[in-house]
Amino acid sequence: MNRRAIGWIIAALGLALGGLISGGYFLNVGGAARLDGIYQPNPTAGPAANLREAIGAGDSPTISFIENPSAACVNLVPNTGPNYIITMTVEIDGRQRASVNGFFQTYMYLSGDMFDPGFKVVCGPPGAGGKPELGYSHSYTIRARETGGLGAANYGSVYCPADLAQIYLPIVLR
Amino acid sequence: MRRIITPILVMLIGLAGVFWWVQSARGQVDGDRFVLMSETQDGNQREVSAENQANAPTQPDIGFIDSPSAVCYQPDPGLDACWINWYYLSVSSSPNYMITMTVTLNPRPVAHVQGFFQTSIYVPFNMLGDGFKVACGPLGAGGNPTLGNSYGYTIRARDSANLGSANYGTVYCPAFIP
Repeated sequence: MNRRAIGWIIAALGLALGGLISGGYFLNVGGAARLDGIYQPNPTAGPAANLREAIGAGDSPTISFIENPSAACVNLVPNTGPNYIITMTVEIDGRQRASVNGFFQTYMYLSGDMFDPGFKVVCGPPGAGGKPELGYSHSYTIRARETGGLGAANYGSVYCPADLAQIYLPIVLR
Repeated sequence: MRRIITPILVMLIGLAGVFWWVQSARGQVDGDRFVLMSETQDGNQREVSAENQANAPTQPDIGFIDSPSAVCYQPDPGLDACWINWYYLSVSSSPNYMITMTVTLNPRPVAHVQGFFQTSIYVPFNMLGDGFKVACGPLGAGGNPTLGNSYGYTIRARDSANLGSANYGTVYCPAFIP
């Protein structure tokens, strides 16, 4: 065996040693492995037997056992996690006027004064929307979508008060 | 002797690579900060970080920032002017004090909130007025064919233990159609 071969064997041993160190580095005494900064269950650790103990000297310790009855792990509906709301959009007369983006939230609530004073539209002359005492009728659609692929939509219309802009031209005498 | 130097160098480089890999797997590094918790969902990301790995607690007191319902709306369809706002911004770090919370939009800081002997910061939408004025943009400008411009935002918070929390998200605006 020449020196070159010995050198390569040393290199291979070094890499193997590094791999062993890295493998052991993740193992935690508590049975949890820390990856990406988050504690995750360690797949190599098996289920632990139930055990309770009161630590200290003396035949009758004054501290009692800790009570933690009914350890439960519940999955009410299998294969369903919490769904997040992704978007909600407001459309008036066929044009998008507001887009709301969810951020790790399972519901979306927007109060009216968040859009204060509201969305500007044309009032229209009396009867323009079909009701003689009111102006234009504006249709709206509110859509929402969630991470589970489901959507919800509201379709409605709102009548505006009539308002006719009247411009009086000045009479200029020459 | 020369023949053995090369394998030893390879071994050292290999070991260094292994240790570097271990370091990055334990906690991602965001800039010069050590990320303790991170979640991603539909392009949005939130994380809690420490100044460095040495002072990184296993259970940080600062939580994720709550910044629901990032909204962009166009009050007047005749103007290329939209407003971005959030329903509220909230973060808590009890028992530590909150030092700051900043909002950055594309990538300019637009709001800076200073804590004052408080363990949480809560900013409702009306504290930001109508929100932050931006250009709505033409149809499809932000990548969504039915909407206008998109704006990336970052909300960062820091507490007195030098732990940080950050939200990274994108908000799409309605398009301006002249």
